[in-house]
This record gives sequence, C-alpha cells and structure tokens, in this order.
Amino acid sequence: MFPIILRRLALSVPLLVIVSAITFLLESFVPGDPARTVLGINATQEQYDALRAAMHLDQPVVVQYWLYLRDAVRGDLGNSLFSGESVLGLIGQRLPVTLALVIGGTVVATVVGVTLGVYSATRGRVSRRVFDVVSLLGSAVPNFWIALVLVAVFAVEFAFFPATGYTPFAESPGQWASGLVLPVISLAIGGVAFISKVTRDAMLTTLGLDHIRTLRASGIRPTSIIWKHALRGCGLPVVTTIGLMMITFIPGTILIENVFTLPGLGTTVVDATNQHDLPVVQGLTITFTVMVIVVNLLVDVLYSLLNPKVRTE
Amino acid sequence: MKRRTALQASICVVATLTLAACGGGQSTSGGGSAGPVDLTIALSSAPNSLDPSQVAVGPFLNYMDPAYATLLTRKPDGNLGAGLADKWGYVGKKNTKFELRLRKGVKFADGTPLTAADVVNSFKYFQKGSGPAAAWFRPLTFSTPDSSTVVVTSPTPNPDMGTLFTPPYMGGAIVSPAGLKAPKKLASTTFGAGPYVYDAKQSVSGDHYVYVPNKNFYDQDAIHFKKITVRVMPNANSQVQALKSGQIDLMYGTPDVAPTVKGNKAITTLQKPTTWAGLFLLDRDGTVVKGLGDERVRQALNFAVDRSAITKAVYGDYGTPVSQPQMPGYDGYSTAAADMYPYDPAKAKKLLKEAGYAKGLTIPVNYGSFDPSTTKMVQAVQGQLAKVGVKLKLRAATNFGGWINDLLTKKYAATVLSPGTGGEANFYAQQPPFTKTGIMNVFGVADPDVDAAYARLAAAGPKAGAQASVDLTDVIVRKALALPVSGTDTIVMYNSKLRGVKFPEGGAQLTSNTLWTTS
Repeated sequence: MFPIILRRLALSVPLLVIVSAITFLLESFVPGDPARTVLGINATQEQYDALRAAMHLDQPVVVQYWLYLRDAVRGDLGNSLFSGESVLGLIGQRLPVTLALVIGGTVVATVVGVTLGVYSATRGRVSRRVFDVVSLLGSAVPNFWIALVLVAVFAVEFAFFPATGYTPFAESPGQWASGLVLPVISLAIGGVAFISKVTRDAMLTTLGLDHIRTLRASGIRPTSIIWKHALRGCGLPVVTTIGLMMITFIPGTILIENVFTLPGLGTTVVDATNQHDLPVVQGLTITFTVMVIVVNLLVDVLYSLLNPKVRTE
Repeated sequence: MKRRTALQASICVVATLTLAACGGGQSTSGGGSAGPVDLTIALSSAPNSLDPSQVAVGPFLNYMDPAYATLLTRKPDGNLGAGLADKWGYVGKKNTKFELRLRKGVKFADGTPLTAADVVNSFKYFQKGSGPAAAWFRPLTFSTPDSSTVVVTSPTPNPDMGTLFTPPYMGGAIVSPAGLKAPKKLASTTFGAGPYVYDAKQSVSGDHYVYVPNKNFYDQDAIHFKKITVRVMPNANSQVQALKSGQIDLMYGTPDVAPTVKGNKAITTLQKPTTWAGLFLLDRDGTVVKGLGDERVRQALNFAVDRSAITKAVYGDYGTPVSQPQMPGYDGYSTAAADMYPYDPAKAKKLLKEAGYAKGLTIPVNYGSFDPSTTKMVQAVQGQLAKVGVKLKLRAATNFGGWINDLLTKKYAATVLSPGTGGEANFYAQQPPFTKTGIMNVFGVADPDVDAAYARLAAAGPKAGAQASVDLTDVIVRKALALPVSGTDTIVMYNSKLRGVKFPEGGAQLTSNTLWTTS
C-alpha cells in the first residue's frame, strides 16, 4: 500500500508543475493589463510603471513563471492584486467551506444513493422503472436550479434555513449546520442519482453470482446477504463512482457557493477571474488540482483495500 | 448491536437537522418586528482596499462611510452639511481658496485629537494615491493658519470645491497619524474618525466586513446601530432572496431583479438616473476617423439614434432617454439641449451628405463587454447607425484593464465607459471627457468654445453658477461632442423599516449608511 501512495505522490509533482505552467501561460494571453485594472484610469504613469515592476509584468512570461515557481516552492503563492492579502492565507480561510460542501455532499450522496440503489435492485420491475425515471431527472436537472428552488421554498417561504451565508463551526455549530443543509442537498442530488444507478446495476449483477446463490441456499437472512456480502461485491464500481463524483463536486461548488454566497474557493475563483486577479486564480487552480490528486489517491487506497490484487500488482 | 448503531446514527442525523433548522432562517437584522438594530448591506463586490486613497467609489462607499467621517457631508436637500468641519466657505471671490474650520473636540478612533496638521497630512497622502478622486486633489495646495483651520488653494477656479470634502470624493475622509505611519495597514483596517470602527476579528475579508461603534466618536447620539455589516454577495438573485428572508437590509438592484420585489410591502425600491450611457466621441479632431472632426457628422450621429427605443429595450423601466451628458435633476441639465436631436434618420443622412459622407463612414469603437447592458446598448446603437450608413467597428474588452489599454492606444475614435459617468455637478462631470487635459480626452482635443464655457462656469459665483453650468452643457451638445443615449438608474432595494435611505438632490450616491435609522 505504502509504495502505491508514494508513487502516486511522486507523479503528482510534475502534474502540479504542468498545470501551473499551463495556467500561467494561458493567463498571459488574457487581454488586459492587471496593473491597469488595479490602478484604474486616474493613476499616473509613474504609479503604473511602479506597479508593473512590482508585479514583474515588465519581465518575459518565462521569467515571471520561474519567479512564481521559486516563490511557490517556498510556500509563497503571492498576494491578491486587489486586497493585497496573501493567496495562501486566502485559500486557508476559504478551504474549510469548500471542503465542508464537498465532504458533506459526498456523504449525503453516498448514503442516500447506495441505499436507494440497493432498495431498487431488490424490488420489482415497476419500482425499477420509477427509479430509472427519478434517477434520470436527478442527474438531468442542474444543481443550481435545484438550489434556487430549495432557497425559494425552504429559506424564503418557510424560513427553515438561511438563504445565504456561512457561519464557522467554532462560532455556532447550529448555524454552521443550518447554513450547509441546502447547499449540500443541492450539490448531492445529482450524485445521488449517479451512485444509486451504479449501485443498483452492480447489485443486480452481484446478486446473480454463484456465491450469493450458495449463501441463499445456506439459509442466511436476505438482509444480511444484501448488506453484508453483496454490497461488498459492489465495492469497486461504487468506490470508482464516488471518486468521480467527488471530482465533479469540486468544480460544482463554484455554482453552489455563488448561489448561496458561501465564502469558499468557488466564489473566490469567480471574483478573482472577474477582477483579473492572476495570483489568486493561479493559487486556486493549484488548490483544485491538489484536491483532485487527493481524491484520486483516496480512491486508489480504497481500491487496494477492497481488492488485494491491486496491492500485489 | 448493529440495530442500535443504526438507531444512534438516525438520532444523530435527526438531531443535526433539528439543530440546523433551529439555527437557520433567523434574521439577524431586518426580519424582526422591532426593526433592525444591526444593519446589513449587501454589495456585489469586495472593496479593492479599505484605504481611502485607493478605494473605488460608488456603492463601495458603504465600506468607508462607517469608519471614515469626512470633513463635509451632503444633506438630503443637496446642500453641503457639517462633518469633521463645522464651518466652511470660499475666501475671496475667485473660487480658488476654500477654508475649513474643524469641529472642536474631535478625536480619531484611537483617541488622538484631530488637528489641522493631521488634515493636511491626510490630504497629502491622498494626493499620492490612485483612487478615482485622487486626480481632483493633485493640483491643490494647503496651509494651516491655526490648529483648527485648513485653507485649500486651487491653481484654477473651482466653483464647487466643498464637494471634494464630501464622502463620494474620499479625500475628505481624514486618516489618522497612526494610519499614515503604517500605510500598508490602511488596506485592511481603518484609521478614521467615523462613528464606527472596522472589526477585523468579526470580519472575513472578501466575504463580510463588520463595523462596531467608535467610543471616541464626537456625537454618540448619532450612532444608530449596534453593528453595521457589509456582506459581499456577487449574485443579485441571492441578494434578493436574502433581502426577502430578512438576512440583509439593503442591496443595489439591477433591471433584471428589481421587478421581482414589486408589490412586496416589506421592501422599498428607490431608483434614480445616475450615469449616462452612450458613446464618448474621442476623436473630435478627426485623427483616426477624419469625418468625426466635422461637426455635421457628429450631429448626424445624434439624429440617427432612437434613444427612447434603445432605452426601453436595454434598460426597461430603469432608464431615461438622454441626449446630453447630464441627466434630469442634476446641475447643468439643459432643457434646450434635450430637444436638440430628435430621432430623425433623414436629417442624419442629409447632414452626412453635406459633410461629404453620403456613402457613410466607419468608426472604430472600444467598449467593455463585462457589463451586459453596455454590450446591448452599443449593439443597438450600431444597428441604428448602420441604417444611415455609419458602421461601428466594435472592439470588446473583457475586463476593465483591457478597456483602459485599448483606450490609451488611440486607435479607437470613440469609446463607451461602463458603467458610465455622471451623477455629479457639471463642473466635475464634464472635465474628464471634454477639457483638454481631461483623463478621458485621450486625443487631447482642445475646443475653445468648451474651454471658454468651462472657464466661465469655474469662475462663476453661486448666483451665476446654475446658468453657466447649463451654458456649458449647451455648448457640448450643440457641437455634438458625444453621443449620449440613456440615463441609467441606480436601483436600491431595502427593508421598509429603514429610514433615511435617500438620494440627495442633485447627487448620485445614497446618503451615508451611518445616517439611516430604524422605525
């Protein structure tokens, strides 16, 4: 197991360098001048020249990237052009919100999706058809639309949950949970449809296998066969799906955070892009890449736990 | 055992949801029946800085108002009001010297007393900044006859110098000596003498900014709220939901979302034309497009545009057709200029023919596509001008920096400034685009008639000022130095329990949020 983790981590380093280089290069093609954006039209030429020099914009792109990489290795991702805040500090402040969304969404989607998938696989044809339609709807309806409906009903009409905003856990656990309920549900609904379908199909296949028939013939209770034996057999496709879903949740938070005005990485990336705040965009791109790497690593670890063959390969 | 675990998990889930439901949906401000004791304002962007010399103005003033008291204020009737200074006025009759007498007993939030020297040092710091209003301050010089008097001298006459010391110009927001000693800190904390102080501990930069009462403020009775919070909410629809559910008390609306609260008695909507949208005809000497040097061509453009149709289509109920670079209700608005260019494509064609452009001409125009309304407006103008043979070759910039860069290349004979200009006294509104050294006059065009009219307005006393201001507008419009299309509204939607939320007469910025109260 340990060599697998080490190998994956070693591979992630060039990946991060490539992603950061591509982002940097692409940003250099974006029309407009960040120094002008920051200073506005009233700035004098001296102010403009000084800011360009401070931002290394007077250097070739390759030099700019090299300086960026050098600082990044030292743990300095630069400062926001607008607020002057450290990009690392900014990410540290907003990461918990996005993680709460992604992890919360994954837990909800997994628990509900697996339960529904198992339920559907063990019921008759009619309920499977109903399940197919509901599942299709769940994956087809965009989550931001679901979010808006949830807000209109549960925040504005009934005032059960806040329409917007985030309260840190340390400040008030109740308000923290309250603020996350609607965003997590909005994010999770598409995942529920996705996981339940995969679980249902995998469960149907597993239930048809010889060893399950043997277990049935041995008189073991059906509930135990399904939840203890068959579900373990569904592990690989379901874990793969959960991994993929988490990866889609990471960019998915951009829309959800914007609808609910949560101070996470998603809202920050939108603001930074609109403001042409390149250091922040660059820092967030790296963060999102790291998150994807971590999810893939977790999937690999789970894979090797579920399937010993992977460990020996 | 397993069943017990499942039961425990179920109880946990139910408990969490109950806890969540109990904690949620409670208004911290406007939802209660007693009215807000805290004030929460939503804005679509975080401030670029909390430093008065750097911050953009407009709605961003909501971040500055609580912590930075200004030397003078703008009263709802449009007149100047007292602030940190309680006496003010010109010295002599040339409109070049302006004296401010400081209120007695004023202290900064850190407890140090405010002196005339502090005011001058703050002015000097402001002059070095790059904020939108810094350019107005750069030519000024200052003296302090005594510890509570500041005399400001302008090298050229200025008929409205007191305005520079009101909130929308930020230079009158005096920074304490402690702030001036640590200018880097000014971006993320406050060093003013306002009724509130920024509380970094309760705030999250980029998300919400909290201001708590300043115990050293000179008038404790004027502190109406326990806390003022400015929340950053980029999505206008989310702001509306938050306003409806009582999470926020005030937001700035857009033509898209404003109709969604019509009929809701708990929410009041204010709207006022504050900026003019249209084309700045930069190349008035005909350097890039020869035809634009001909007054008849510029007038033809003004006759060729159906302003009512475009305004209705682009801004709906939140715009006003205008054919002058000033809007109704503001200093310098001219009723004569309003009638100079009725929609008349035939006359436009005739003028173009007389000027030798019967086959039309092409005008390169740069604009910012980051504002959807601007894009719609400029495309509508493009369509209408095409009918008289004038082709607009549009260059879109996706961000503000790109727009400025394009502007400075001098390749574009006209531009669209998004979200526009206006909402100011005519002396300030027309200087940037139309005087020779104005920052928007990138071709440096000198027009003797404009300069003369501007000089007359600059030197005019209070009695002659109103007519001189209208005369300046008439010159600009008669010579067709611009192609104004619409006056666009600033829309404000707020909790009906709030009192004192107003646009001052002749002004585009709301009264300071520190002056609002609850019912």
